[in-house]
Amino acid sequence: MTLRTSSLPSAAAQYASNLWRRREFAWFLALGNLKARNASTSLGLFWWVLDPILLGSIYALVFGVIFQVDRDTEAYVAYLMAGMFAFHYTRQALTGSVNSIVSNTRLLANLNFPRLVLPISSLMESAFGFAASLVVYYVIIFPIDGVRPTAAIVWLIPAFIIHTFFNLGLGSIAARVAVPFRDVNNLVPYLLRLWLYMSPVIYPVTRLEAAPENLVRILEFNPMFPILAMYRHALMGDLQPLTASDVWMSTAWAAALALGGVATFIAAEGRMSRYV
Amino acid sequence: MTNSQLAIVARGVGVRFRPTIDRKPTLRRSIGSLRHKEREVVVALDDVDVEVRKGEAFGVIGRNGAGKSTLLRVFAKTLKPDEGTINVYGKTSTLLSLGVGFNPQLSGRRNVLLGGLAAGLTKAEIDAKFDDIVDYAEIRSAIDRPVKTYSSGMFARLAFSVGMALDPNILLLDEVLAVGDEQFQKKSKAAMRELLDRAGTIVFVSHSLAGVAEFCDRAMWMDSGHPVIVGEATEVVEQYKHWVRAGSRSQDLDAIRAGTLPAVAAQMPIADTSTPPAPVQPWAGYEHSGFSHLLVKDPAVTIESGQFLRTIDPSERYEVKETGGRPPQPPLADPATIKVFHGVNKSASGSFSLTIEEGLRHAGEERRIINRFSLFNKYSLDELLDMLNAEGSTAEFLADHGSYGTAKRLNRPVTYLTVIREPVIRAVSVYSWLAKHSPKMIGDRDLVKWGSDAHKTFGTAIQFLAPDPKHRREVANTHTAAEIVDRATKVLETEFSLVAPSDLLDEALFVTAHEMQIPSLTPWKRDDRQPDRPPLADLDPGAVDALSEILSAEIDFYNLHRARFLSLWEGYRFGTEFEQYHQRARQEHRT
Repeated sequence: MTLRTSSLPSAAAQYASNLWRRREFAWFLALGNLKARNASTSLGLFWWVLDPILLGSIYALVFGVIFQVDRDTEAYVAYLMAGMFAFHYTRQALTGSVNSIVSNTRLLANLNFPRLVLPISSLMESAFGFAASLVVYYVIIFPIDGVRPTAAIVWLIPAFIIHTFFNLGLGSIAARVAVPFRDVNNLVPYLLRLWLYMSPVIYPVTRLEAAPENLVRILEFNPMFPILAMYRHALMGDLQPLTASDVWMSTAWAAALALGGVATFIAAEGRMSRYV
Repeated sequence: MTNSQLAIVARGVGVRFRPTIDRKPTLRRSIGSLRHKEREVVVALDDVDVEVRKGEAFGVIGRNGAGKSTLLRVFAKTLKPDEGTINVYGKTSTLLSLGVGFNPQLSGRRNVLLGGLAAGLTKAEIDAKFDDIVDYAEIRSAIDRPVKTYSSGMFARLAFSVGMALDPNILLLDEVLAVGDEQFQKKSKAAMRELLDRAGTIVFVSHSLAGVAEFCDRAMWMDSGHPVIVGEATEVVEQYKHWVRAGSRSQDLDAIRAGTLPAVAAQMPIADTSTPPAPVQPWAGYEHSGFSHLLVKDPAVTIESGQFLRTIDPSERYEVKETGGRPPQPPLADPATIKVFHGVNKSASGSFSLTIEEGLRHAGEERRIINRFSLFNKYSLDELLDMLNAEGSTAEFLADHGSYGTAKRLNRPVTYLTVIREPVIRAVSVYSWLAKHSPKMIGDRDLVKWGSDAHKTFGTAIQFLAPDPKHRREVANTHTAAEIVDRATKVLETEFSLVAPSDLLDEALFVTAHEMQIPSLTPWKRDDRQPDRPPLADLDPGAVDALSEILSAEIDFYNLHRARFLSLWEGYRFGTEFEQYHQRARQEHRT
């Protein structure tokens, strides 16, 4: 018997082609889950939009009306909702990915397919919900803050792509870790909560001036900073200017996480069905 | 044998699990295990060499935990072996369980698509085959209804139909065909025969020994992850049965592997009634051990009088008096919500909930099944909760997969089922039929002989009547065996009204005739290719008498004993386990 070692690039190409062959599976699995969810609650898919809006409203009430963090921010509700919607996408993607492997044990035990299909499929679900929420963004924001779409809205496309790759990487890592360590499931909500407060979702970036300088320096590594900046620029135009470093930073984060996350996931894939 | 004639080749395949059966790896345990470098390792497969040929049906039998399903997962390539090589030549369709990839909330149409995509078809392929799939499953009128509204038979047909749509050369089956209605059974068998006719290959893991013997060309008997023997299916099944009857002693396995154990007939356990067989441990390692897993009574539920067999009224409610057997569980918030039912498992396999469903429907109950043995053996509470969340509806989840433990921990009302194994009834039925129709063959003299050996053989009927050993001895001393049989039959007929005794008697006779290979009974033996088999009840009384004559002429005394023994042996095992349940429950109540 000859021992053949396939080179890393060719193995990656092989995996990618297997994955591509299963694209319809991922897509219809996502669609099926959306449909099933739609059937099980009376508001159905509307919850996708309602969730971040309700959350945003609560924060708008607490921080905008009670604590008045919006004193020096123009169009605070637009600012808050843009951040909330984008962060909600990551939240959904992450929780979905964590469950994607663990809740599909029957598929894992029975069928042989690139496991990455499952987190990707769940990412599709979240992406769909996010897209739906963006559609109603101006419907809410215009009556309140008078913000309307500008030419900067084309930035939504790169922002969405970068953000999606970022979520894919993050989700793959989470899904991979959640298989042997089910505790991750319980931990994720807290990490997300912490991350939310460590990101400029509710408060304007300018408010950080009051925070300890060392902490701010650390916070600026938070990939949510540049990602949110891109969305805000796209949705609010010149009210939220965009810097080149935001674009590069978020792209770098997304590329690194997507590559690293997917690679980690695939490396562990062979062992996953042992835990089911 | 050249490679072109082989479908699957396994060489030195080994699979070892870190403890995953009842202990899922979590962060805490992983950290813990860093300290204790030694981790307990479960050897699921050990140096398995096997070749499956093209065009054959290959059965895999053995006790639970023997590694059968793991082997199938290795064949399906969903589990990578730790050592050894595995080559599969052909397109494989895996039906380790039915309806993989299905979403019960969605329509049948949607699920055909999902199941097909999950199995590896493209949408275009599924669309092209869609009509065939639906026609084959015979659910055209229901195809746009959510699958959760399907009957078990419809679901099984649709799922199987999707599995076959892959047009496989190799079909891997794990007990799935034991579910569904008769129509499904027929269809699936016909499809499998057709596959074999086209030189396709089937690997078939089953507890139904009769099924394996009937359907498979060759079979492998596995134990503790290692093959015991591979050979002609009927031969392997016979050897396995013999070993089970002789007490399932692990120390015999090497002799069987070496082929040095005396032939089956010479060691018929009938000559061996003085040695009680090894006790069965129904809960060992929380795994099902062979026959035991379809057993009767949960020790956690004890009825006031302790006489569970006498409390058969399905409308009665019982209180949970104690817990035991399984890890300690908190008491149910509202004990009055536990309801005890008695169902009959006719399939004698791992998938018996569907049979129970029928029973429940018969009893006019809504469809809520608590399958005592399914989920908690496989999943931790956290996982179950995850699954519950993922499924959306708790009530439905419980109805579909629920277990007593789940319900209890979630503090939900449950309908609790008790399952009586069919062979017990069969034993009593055969016995009483013979006693009725051929009194000269089963005279009191013989029965009394068996009756005096109650603990070993005739215990079935007696245990039915008298679960308490003291009481049993009294019954055995004061009643003739014929009376006991008669009484037990009556109990079965009146109290276990979920089955029609005459059907069962039919079935029992045919199964026995089949197992005994009595030539004169072949017109009536089980045969799917001959669906028009006349039911025994339809025969005129003269024919029944004639049958009885044939029986007396054809069956010599030895064979008669053997037939009786075969039936009763299973009954005995049932009895022993039943007794152990009670003892354990009583003990744990005391402590």
